[in-house]
Amino acid sequence: MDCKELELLAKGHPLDIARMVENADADRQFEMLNQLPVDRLNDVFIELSDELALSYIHSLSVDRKKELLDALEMDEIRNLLDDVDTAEVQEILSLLDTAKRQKMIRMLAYDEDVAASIMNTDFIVIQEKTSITDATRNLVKNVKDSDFIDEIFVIDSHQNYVGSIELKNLISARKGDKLDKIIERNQAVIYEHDSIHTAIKKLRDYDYTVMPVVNEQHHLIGIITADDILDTMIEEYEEDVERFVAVGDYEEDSSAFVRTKQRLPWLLASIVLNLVIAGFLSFFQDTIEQITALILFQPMILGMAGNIGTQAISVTILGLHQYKLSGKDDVKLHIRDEIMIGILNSLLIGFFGFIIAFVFLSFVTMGDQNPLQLAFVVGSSLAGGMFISAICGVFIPIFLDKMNIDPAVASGPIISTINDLFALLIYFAIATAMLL
Amino acid sequence: MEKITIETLQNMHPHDLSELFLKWDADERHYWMSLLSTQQLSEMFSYLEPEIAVEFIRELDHTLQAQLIDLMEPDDARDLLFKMDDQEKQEILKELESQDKISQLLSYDEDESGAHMTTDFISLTPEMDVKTATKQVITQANDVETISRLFVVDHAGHFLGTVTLKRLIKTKSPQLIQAIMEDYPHVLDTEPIEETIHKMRDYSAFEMPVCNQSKLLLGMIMMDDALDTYHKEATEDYEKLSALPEAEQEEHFSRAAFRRLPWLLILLVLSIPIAYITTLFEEVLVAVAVLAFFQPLILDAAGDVATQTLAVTLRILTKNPKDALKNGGKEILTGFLTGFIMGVSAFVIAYFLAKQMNSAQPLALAIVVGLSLWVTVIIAPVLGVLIPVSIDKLGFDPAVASGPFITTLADLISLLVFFGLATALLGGL
Repeated sequence: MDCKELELLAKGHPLDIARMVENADADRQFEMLNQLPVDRLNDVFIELSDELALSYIHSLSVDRKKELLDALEMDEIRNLLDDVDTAEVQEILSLLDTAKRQKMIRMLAYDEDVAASIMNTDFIVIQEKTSITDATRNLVKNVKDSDFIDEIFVIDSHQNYVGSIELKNLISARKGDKLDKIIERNQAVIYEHDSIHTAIKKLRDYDYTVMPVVNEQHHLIGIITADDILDTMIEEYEEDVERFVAVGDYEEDSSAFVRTKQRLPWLLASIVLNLVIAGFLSFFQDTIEQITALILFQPMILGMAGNIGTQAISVTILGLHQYKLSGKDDVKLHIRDEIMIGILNSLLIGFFGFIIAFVFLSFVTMGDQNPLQLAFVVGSSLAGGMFISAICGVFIPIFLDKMNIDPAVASGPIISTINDLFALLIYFAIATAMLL
Repeated sequence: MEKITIETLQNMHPHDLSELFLKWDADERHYWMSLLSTQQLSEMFSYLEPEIAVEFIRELDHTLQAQLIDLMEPDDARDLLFKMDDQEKQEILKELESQDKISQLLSYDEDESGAHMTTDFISLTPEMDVKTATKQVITQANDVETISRLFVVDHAGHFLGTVTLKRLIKTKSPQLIQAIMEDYPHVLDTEPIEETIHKMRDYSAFEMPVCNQSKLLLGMIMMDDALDTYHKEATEDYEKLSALPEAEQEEHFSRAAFRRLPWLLILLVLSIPIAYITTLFEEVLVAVAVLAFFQPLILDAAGDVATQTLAVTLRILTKNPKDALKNGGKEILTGFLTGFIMGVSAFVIAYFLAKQMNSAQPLALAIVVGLSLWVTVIIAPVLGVLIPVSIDKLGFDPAVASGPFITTLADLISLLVFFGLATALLGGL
């Protein structure tokens, strides 16, 4: 191993070490990891790719495995357990000490979208009646490397959660001061069964870096830290965008083949649907053959219906995800507002579309249609198609959310194709009625 | 309304207080503000949206204004002053004790990391003994936001590394800071804030040191600010992707409708060139009018694939821009593969459909549909990469114009391909 590598192993940031190990030759990876003392290995270990982390943990002796597991935080062990099969889950659980194992079994029972599933159990707790000196001494003596210490949590003699103390206030408190004076008691807590969204919103609103998690008896059972919340926020946002454009579970380093495989199903479904639409529309074959100029405005009508639909869908999804649409009244109000917006904007754009089409047809001709009549068909179909699309854009995500399906699915290509169908049916129907 | 006492207000979290504040009428605001301490008011104003906070602060007298802003954290004060016009800003800055700090923050662009940093931090030097260092931490603890990680700089102020408080309090004197210091990442003050946030996520860093070009430590970005900023940026990006204006809170629907209108109008006008191009293919369209029924298929596919690549490219641009083009290569190859399969499937279905429509040349028609689909799906990702990358190079936010602009361009090109191929293969009818 060269100097640079040794220096990095000794002093580097865990993420940088993990990156170096990932890039090293396969036969040297374990050797590098074995060089690390356990109190650094745990930090490096969690940064490794799932694949390497699993094969490394398999290579370890039972003792070292135990040491490593002891040094990991609860949410990190949970992550590890998510990736292994049942037999290995049992094996890893059996290596944990009893207290940790019990906590872990409880944590595994939480759903992925419950806040408690990302909580941590490494933090410092002190009794309400402790003196400042004892509290400080206790901290210095008992602090573990994995502990979160920015805030220290206070419980009373019945194990009930009381409040928290900022580390900086504890450190700078004078000896004679009462601990009581520096406890912050009015802080928001997260309940065991709160959703992750609630936790994200609370933490963001109150600018906390950590929040306590309590159960129904108001006992402190864990903490949620801001770094895990940031992680969850970024994952959720990226998932929203992935769903929005239907690219599957996108990874930067996945190959073109993987990407093809992930995206193809949706795209093919959209093609089949589109051709089914083409089949439906062949009903209007006579119309299009006699009024070829209809094709000129087809992209406009499709595009505008799609655009207004996307706006409505996104506003609704953002509202649902940011927890703005939690109450019944909120939802009703949102639906009413969006319908009004849909009506207003469809009418306005329909009117502008009519004018633009009329001006356009006065200069450019195709076939022998009366420009005014054709422009009227365009304008009214624009308004109709856009309105329907806007309505679908509000109701579909809310409906999906009610059915407990992630509403972001609504934004995919399938819905836009269905909107196409409605818009075109309106277009050709009006054209047939008015022009033939 | 339930009865509010000054005690309830004093014990309230400033966030809750700020929400209550917005619900009060002018008299109530006046009354309660006179009872709350300057410290509490200052905290409450930091929790309001800066553009709203400015409105209220304007109504106060100059001395109180300066007091309130001085008590704020420098980055919050900066956000507030940023919303004022130049003259107002200068007048208030003159009055501030923290004038230098805030002007420094104001010199950064909104999307640069420097604008979001807090300049209060504890710095230690490598030659300090742990005992001296601990003493320094204890005396300065109240002036900073967090002490769980301490920054080590040399005498000129260059950033060297960090020491965790855990390590510091567990180490026995005599021992130098040097011995317990560890490497720690840092970001440049001019680095885009989004990249910094992703770095903080990768390193699970609760605080990220910010340095200038010569590695002079200027401040740090705190996790809570990073969360707020990320939330704001992500929502904005999502809105831009769907041609939505920036959302305002709780506005009347007619205003909301009016604000969404401009984008829709622009998109409406952009569809005119498409109509014009279509007229150029009149001959083939009159001969084979059913082409119209296959047009939505081609348009949808081009648009879908272009936005897929766009979404992927935008993400790379915020994380590691250098890889954008390499990733683009993969996207185009992906287009080549998906396009082929899509083209073949469309060809088969279109053939039967064309027969059913009694088309004169079902085979040629199906070939036109399948082939244009393939070609379009290869071209679409090229747009999805090149347009955001060039907008980014020009120094604009690539998320702004990209979405609608790309779909329109993709529509145009795919129609040229579709009708062009149709003229070539079917036009000789």
